[in-house]
Amino acid sequence: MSNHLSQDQFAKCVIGQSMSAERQHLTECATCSAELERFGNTLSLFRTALRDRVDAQAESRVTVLKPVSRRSAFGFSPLRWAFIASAVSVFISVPLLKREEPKPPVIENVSTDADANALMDAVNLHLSRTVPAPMERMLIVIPDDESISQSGGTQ
Amino acid sequence: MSMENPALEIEDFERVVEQYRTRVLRFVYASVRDMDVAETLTQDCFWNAYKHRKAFRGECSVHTWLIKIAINLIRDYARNRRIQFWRKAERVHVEEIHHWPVRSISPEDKASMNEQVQAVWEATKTLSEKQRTVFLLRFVEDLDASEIAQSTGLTENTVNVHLFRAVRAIRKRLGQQK
Repeated sequence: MSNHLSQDQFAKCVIGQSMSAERQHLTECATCSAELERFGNTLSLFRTALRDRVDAQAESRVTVLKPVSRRSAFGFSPLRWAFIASAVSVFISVPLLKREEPKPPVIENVSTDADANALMDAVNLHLSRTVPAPMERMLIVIPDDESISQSGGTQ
Repeated sequence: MSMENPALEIEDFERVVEQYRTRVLRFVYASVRDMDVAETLTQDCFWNAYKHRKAFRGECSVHTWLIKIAINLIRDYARNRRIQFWRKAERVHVEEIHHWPVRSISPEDKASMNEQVQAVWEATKTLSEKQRTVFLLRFVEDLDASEIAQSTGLTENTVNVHLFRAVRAIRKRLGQQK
């Protein structure tokens, strides 16, 4: 059997649950007390390293947060707000500009009696034509029925 | 340090955040081993504490109460994202935990210290969730068994059992690495 503390006894000493016999052994055994001290130092180093690591993170976080604090409550920078404002103004003004565009000229409807009469005459003239208007000029060269019968006509 | 009446202390919540944020972050970081996740969980911890501050009766210290909330958040996180949790834990680089601002340390001593710290850091990874929590609260946050019992909801005897097993496992692990 070993003269030194077992793993279990050692662990009890570390967590402060040691018995009087183990405490007595530690006062007498330089190896075990040195081992206990070394283990305690290792845990202390671990704690220090963790604390320094988190403190460093906390410091870096402060520096990162500084520019954020200048931002507005909604987390947008003034430049972004300006961009949003210009985008909104463009969005609003486009329909307004569209509304003010010059409308194409509209042919006004006949509104007077004289114009109505003239239009009716034009319609009557058109309806009274024997041939369509584009063919009227051709009637000059085409002989009518009477002239054909006088000359003997064609067979 | 904290006021005599924790229920009154919680009223000034801004001060509570200022006073305990680093301690909570440290514990959460050591538990989840990822600083980004630790930051998020710490923020959630204080948000939950703020929401339920009226329910805090001052039966334990503010720190213990905050750690209790943090433990629940860590547990939920580990449960919900177990795969990602361990994958991220594996990715933590050796350099991440090492930070020695003291420049007077010789390179040899620094290397030795780094080795020891890294060994404990790796060893805590092998512990069960409860063992790790108890170990970190005892040896990083300096809480005693009754405070750990309040934070974790375990009995003092159970806390001591987990602590005993954690220390034994870590020492065994350190012995293997020598």
